Amino acid sequence: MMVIIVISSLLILLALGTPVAFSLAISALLGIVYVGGIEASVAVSDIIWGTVSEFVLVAIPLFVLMSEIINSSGVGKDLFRSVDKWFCRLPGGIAISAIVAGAIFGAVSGTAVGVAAVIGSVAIPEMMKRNYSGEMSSGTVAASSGLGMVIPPSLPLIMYGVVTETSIADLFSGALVPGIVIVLMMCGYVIFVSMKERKFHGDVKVELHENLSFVRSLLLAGPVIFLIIVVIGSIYNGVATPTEAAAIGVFGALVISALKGSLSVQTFSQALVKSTKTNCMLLAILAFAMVFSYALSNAQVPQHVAEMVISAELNKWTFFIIVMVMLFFLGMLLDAISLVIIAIPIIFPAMIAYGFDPIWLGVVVMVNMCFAVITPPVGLCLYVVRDSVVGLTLAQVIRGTIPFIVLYAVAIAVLSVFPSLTAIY
Amino acid sequence: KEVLRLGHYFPTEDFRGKTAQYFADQLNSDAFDVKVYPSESLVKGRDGFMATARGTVDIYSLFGGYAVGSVDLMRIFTIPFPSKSMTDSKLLEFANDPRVLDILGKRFETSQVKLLGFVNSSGETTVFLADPISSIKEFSGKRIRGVGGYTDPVLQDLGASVVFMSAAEQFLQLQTGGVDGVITTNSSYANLGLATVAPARLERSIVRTPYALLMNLRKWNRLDESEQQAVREAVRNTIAWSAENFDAESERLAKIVESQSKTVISFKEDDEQLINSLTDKYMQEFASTYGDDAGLLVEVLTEYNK
Amino acid sequence: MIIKIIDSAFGKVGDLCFKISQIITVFLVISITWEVANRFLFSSSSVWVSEVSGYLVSSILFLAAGRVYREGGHVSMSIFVDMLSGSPKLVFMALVDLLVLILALVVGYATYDMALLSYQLNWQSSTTLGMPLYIPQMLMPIGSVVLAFEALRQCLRNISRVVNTGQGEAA
Ligand code: NA
Ligand code: NA
Repeated sequence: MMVIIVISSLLILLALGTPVAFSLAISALLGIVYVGGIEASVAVSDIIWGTVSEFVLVAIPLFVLMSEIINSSGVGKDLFRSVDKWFCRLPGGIAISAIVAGAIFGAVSGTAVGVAAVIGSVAIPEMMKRNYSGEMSSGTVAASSGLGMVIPPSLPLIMYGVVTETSIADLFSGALVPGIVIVLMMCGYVIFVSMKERKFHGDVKVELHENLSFVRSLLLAGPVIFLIIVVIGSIYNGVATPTEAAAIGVFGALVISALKGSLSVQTFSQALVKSTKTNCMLLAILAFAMVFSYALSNAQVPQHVAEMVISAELNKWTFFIIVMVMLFFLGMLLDAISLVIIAIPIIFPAMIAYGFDPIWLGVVVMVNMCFAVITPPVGLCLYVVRDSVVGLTLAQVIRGTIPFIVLYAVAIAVLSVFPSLTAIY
Repeated sequence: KEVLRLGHYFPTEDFRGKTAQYFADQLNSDAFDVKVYPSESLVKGRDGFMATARGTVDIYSLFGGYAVGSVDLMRIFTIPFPSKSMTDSKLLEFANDPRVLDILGKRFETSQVKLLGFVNSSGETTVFLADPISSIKEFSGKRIRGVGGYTDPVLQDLGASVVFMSAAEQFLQLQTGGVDGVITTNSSYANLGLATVAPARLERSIVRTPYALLMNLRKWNRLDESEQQAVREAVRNTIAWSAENFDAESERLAKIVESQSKTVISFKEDDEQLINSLTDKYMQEFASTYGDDAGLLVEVLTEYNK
Repeated sequence: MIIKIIDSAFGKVGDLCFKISQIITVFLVISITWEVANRFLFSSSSVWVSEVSGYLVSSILFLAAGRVYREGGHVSMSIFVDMLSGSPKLVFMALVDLLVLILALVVGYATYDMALLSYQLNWQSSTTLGMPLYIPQMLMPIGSVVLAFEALRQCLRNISRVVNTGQGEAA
């Protein structure tokens, strides 16, 4: 009964347009009061305090600030131009460039939406100029905008580490190779399609590159790539903890922005305002999702789910597929970070009981989260990409992402067959 | 049926997790339905005291070190370098001595918490270091993860600086050089695989802290006489069970730690003297800072130390 | 008139708290980088950085919550509400504001109760720092009250738009 109250009130509140964080809080409170009476509601403060007064969480505001500084420095466009310089000779070269630039920019940019907006506005018009269909152009950009969630540093991955108490450093180093593998898979797909259709051959000589030497392209793309290497490298080599690496990353971002000449008091304070808003929003979801999870744990819902699953004697992989499909459908309605915070505490204990590795699971969940940003109705990147070019329709974008959705599913299968891809070296 | 939510820090299969489950099994009856929440699944260990006081959880098996910020007398269990005779079962005996329970119980009650008793020990808890040292004087300049209470000022007396971090962060901090050493339990050392990053260890415990079984005071007061009696009975049985089985567990862990760690830092005579003087210093400081009750606790402790 | 002054005063308080939240973010960057640098250059670390920065995360959340709510910065699923327009939409928005107002008051009370208890019983963190817990905890009820005021302002604003425009064309 309590579960019905909590879940149904959550759905109603979300539908009313109540912010996700507050919907979670209100429905959780209803559940807590239903079980323990009005006096039980003071528990909210213990859970919030216990959740948001932790050193590991400091990584979140720092990484968000880092990516806002990077976004405001205009690095995204340069990055695409440079990467295109390198890949334009391959069949489907410009689509490959969009994917690679999206992955690199995504690695340091906190949000998939930011990637979709920046890369979309440069890459899609260029691709359409070279006779790519609207579907192919927009689908490629939308689909690759989520890659930054898999490639470290990654906020959703930090959130996963926080809610499951898995080492964030291990998660980062476990996700690196799979992230690269997925990029390669996508590029391979683009080359395959281009060769088959033959029509993208020779989109080589393009005005865009005429005044861009190879050295200059390195100079443009280098700083961002260097920043990723510094951040991941310092964690990987055991020089800094993820939180400290984030602080180093903020400084690195400031240096890049200064070198580009785009750093000013005004741009910094804009980045600060934006990141404070994002942080507040993310932390509110985190805090109230933990209250929500307390409400369910309090009624032993996760335990009962685990018991049910065990008594159903599902095969390990059947259960896995059920979880993945469930996350896919929840991903239609929720954004990636909220989804990680809400769903993972509930499914994690059962997954571990089945013998899945927490690091591997974290990476696979991140790949699954790439669905969430491009599945309607709440797939923010779809809308951002559509709005980045006049004349694109939502239907075109959605059709364009379908092959990539299949690719992501294949990537999950590949990770399941070769779990050693997430091994920490 | 009275529902009691019992939270603790450990996985179900850990010895201390089993102790909590044993308590629940003892208490489950027509009158009580005890729900166990292992692995901090309801409330985090660090917040266990506050959460119990406020009724966010009904009963918590709390690491004594997490209570010193709220109940200052709990510092008695953090006086450094307990005597060699203070084994885990001896510690439980001391902690559950009626005089000790009486004094501490009153203090806990002012914080809206009922102290039911002490059911576990942290076991061997000592300093594990990345690089071996030949004397404890070489702690000078090192950064060590502290566990609160008097172990922190003791490290500072030895010239080390104290760093605060959760158990989960220890491995990475040792690896990154964030700290040169950690104070931690044999059980954490084995479970977290710290041997690869901290192969050296002190020969003897720097501290040994009991786990307190705490209950929300309002909840306790709502129970009738026979129900309270049943809870006391279950606590007694649990303490007995724990004391009986802990030695085997300690030995098992000690063997693991022995096989995994590479260097044992043994104390020379002047080290021993220094250690004894530090123990005395904090014994006196405790007695003089926290009033008559503290003096009484020290007297009882001295009795058990013999 | 007086209502307008009060209204803008609450707005200013919300802005101020948001500013503090930004300053805290900058402080975190500086103190943690300082900590890393210190470790490298002088091989020393401090007792307080990790503990205090942990506490500050909660104040980023609470102090900014009001202004972020005002600007619609908390993600929500607005697809259904966006199908509506005019008065019905405003009524739904006012209803959401009201719910958030109630929530902010409950959270404010619960966190106030916690900070008060920490103060009365002199609870401290169990570390060397021995931080009196009520200090960082106090920021939570303060932030909740600011959020409550913002929710109230938005609610009244939405209601008055329904009343003033009759049909609520202004939406
Ligand atoms: Na990333
Ligand atoms: Na979606």
